[in-house]
Amino acid sequence: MTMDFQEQNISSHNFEQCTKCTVCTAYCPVTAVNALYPGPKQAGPDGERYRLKDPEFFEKALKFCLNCKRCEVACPSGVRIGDIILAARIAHTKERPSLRDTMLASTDLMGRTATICAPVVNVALALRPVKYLMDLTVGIDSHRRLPKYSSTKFTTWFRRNAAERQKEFSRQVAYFHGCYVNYNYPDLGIALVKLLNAAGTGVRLMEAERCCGVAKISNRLIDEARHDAEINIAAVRKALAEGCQAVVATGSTCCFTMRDEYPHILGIDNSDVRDSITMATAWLYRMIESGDVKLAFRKDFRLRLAYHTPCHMEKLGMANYSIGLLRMIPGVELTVLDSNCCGIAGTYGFKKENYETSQAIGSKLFRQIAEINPDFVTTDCETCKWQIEMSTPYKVKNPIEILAEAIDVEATAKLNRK
Amino acid sequence: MKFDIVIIGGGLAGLTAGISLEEKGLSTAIVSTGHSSLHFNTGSFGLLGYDADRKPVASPADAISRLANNHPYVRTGMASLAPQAAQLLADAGITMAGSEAHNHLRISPTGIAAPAWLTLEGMATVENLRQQGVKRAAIVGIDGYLDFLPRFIASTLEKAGIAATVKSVTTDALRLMRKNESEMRAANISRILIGDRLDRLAEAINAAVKPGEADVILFPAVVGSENPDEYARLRRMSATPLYYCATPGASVPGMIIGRQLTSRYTRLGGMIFKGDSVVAGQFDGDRLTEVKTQNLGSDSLRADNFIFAAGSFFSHALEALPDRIVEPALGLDIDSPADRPELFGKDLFEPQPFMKAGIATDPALHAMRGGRPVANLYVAGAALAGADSLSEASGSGVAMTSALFISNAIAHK
Repeated sequence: MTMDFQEQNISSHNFEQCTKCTVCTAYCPVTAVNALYPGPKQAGPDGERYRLKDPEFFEKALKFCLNCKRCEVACPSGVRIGDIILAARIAHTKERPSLRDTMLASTDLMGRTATICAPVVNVALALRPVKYLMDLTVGIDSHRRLPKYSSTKFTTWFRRNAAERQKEFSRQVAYFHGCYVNYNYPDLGIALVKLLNAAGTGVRLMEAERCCGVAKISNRLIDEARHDAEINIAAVRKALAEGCQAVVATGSTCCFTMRDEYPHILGIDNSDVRDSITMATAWLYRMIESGDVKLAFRKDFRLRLAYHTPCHMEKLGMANYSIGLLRMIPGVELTVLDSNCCGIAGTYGFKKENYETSQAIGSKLFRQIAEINPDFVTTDCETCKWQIEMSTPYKVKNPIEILAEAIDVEATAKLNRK
Repeated sequence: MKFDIVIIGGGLAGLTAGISLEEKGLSTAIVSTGHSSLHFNTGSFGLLGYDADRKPVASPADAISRLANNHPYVRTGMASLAPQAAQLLADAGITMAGSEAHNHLRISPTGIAAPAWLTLEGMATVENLRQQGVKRAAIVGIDGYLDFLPRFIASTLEKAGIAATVKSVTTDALRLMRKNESEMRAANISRILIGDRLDRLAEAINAAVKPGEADVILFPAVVGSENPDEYARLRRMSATPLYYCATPGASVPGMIIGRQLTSRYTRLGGMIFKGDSVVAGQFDGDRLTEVKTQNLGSDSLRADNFIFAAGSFFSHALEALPDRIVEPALGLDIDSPADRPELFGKDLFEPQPFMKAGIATDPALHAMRGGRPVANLYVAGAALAGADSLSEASGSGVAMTSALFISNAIAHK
């Protein structure tokens, strides 16, 4: 009877497991630089006790949370602190999301519109008067360079140049490319196709892929996010049912959102497919380890790289796969940077009110990169890439791009031909 | 993923084993559920502080012969491993003073003088105050920082013949922190006290305690979690010799030790699976072949040998059910000193029998499962049965020496 009560009295997000040890706050990137933010322990489990009694105890400072989930990685007791804060912000913020937040969150709509007239949009967004205007009118900080839009979407390139020959491969994976690859950086998607094809694997697109929803979730457009998420999970199920071994992503936040934010924040049950949604690096590492895939590397390939662990890659627990793959490349000298948040946190750092906090958070990382002075920084997250490229003189590449450059395509394809 | 050794737990025991095995050229991985209890370490390690009658121990090395047969020290022969542990810390850039032959007296967060084996350089101990011939101490707190108890420390110093005055300082940055006063804790303060803001603090301390006014300043250990260099820099900037006093957790000296050990481990090539937990194991006869974790899903961690160093009840490595104690992840046997009703002492301040419960092992520290030893699974640290880390002040010593004992055994396999 007593045990029954204990076992069934499980609160949301493991809230009751908090022992008030403060370790989460000691690792929160925001508390160190913004005295107005009370930190994850106070904003999360402490505040939640009061909010359960009366939502009036909701603290407006919760908007300073980055949703980086480093508190959850730090927590020795398995409390989903970041989820508690995010859920409270969604439930108790009274104001409707602003025009700016809606714009920043609508990555699909903005991307579709912008790629149509990419050259004009890119020039316009880089103009000083336009930046000032955006700063003044909607609150996008004028220090920011908005990412450039590509004139050809990844999906367009894929259909024209790659779709046909994917049928030659008996092993297939589905690729969740995400908004960034599709509208801003098709080269990463092209690199993935090149790498996986050489590795004897066909790549297919998902049926009707939508934005993973992270930007909508963090800007509280929850119904819209849930709508997209349901379409995505249906597409994942379809791809797996049709014989794809996995759904792979090259962006850690897309992957994390579909695996964890869907069930924890949007209430979508993905337990039947969660394990099959994975990072492309994790999938490839496992295939190499099991002997199903072999890579042959170019003899002339030499690079000094510094790997940055994105917050959501840390939370996914998959950084060791990317690091392990990069270490397989004979000509690579790899330094793993201390795991620190870069400060951008998706749309957070683009907002005028967060600019200074965002740069202060990243300063430790930027300093360490400068000390190491690598040829390239490499990381699995696109917004980390923007932030590092905006804030340091270093170019950033995804580990998949590095691998695609490092392999001997012919030799690799020969090794994997069945 | 495949390694020579997979270590379950990233605290002092797990990191010690990992570093020692990496030094021997073996490939290892650590799975760590959040940050470890090093975050609650005050900067001193205990080897054996009190005997079974709760009398202070002068020499831990000499006291082993009086321990019960299932105590980890009796199995590992702690005395030969303790110097190896001190060397491992030194190699990781952690300067600690002390020896297994003579305990010294640390000053606890509540101001009590308590026996200790090793103490981090820069922390106040009764011995280093005596050696400096200190007669007058200034205990300096921070306005609004309520975890520091200067009057308690003063009473301990007075017993040692040292007169103490109590002062308090603040700076603009610390004043701003008081906006969230409940979060004014050691680890959080230390993230503010960097760069120029540490210079301002040194100026405030030097203004509060004029040169010649005291032989020594005692200041709470709230500096250096972001960058351990700052810990030494404040001491250099202080006009009067400055020593740190321990604080409650999250504790900066423990975080500094943890950070140095983690960085040593990863530099040697060790891989840490952070924020991940082992949830199940696959056994083949008397061997563990792989473990499953929460994050890795269908993938598993495979290894020739495994070390269970996941801690005890606090870290959920052991669970107390209404009728028994269990180890939930791998289903290992439990060695418990009594049945459930007798596991609790009636007086909270007396040693609690449940503290001696742990995973049953054979003399070589192989974990027992279904009454038989698992040939390639070892148990280190607080998960071991037979020691009461709290009443013996033996937690750090058991963690390090059992980890080294196992690492030596694996290397000789």
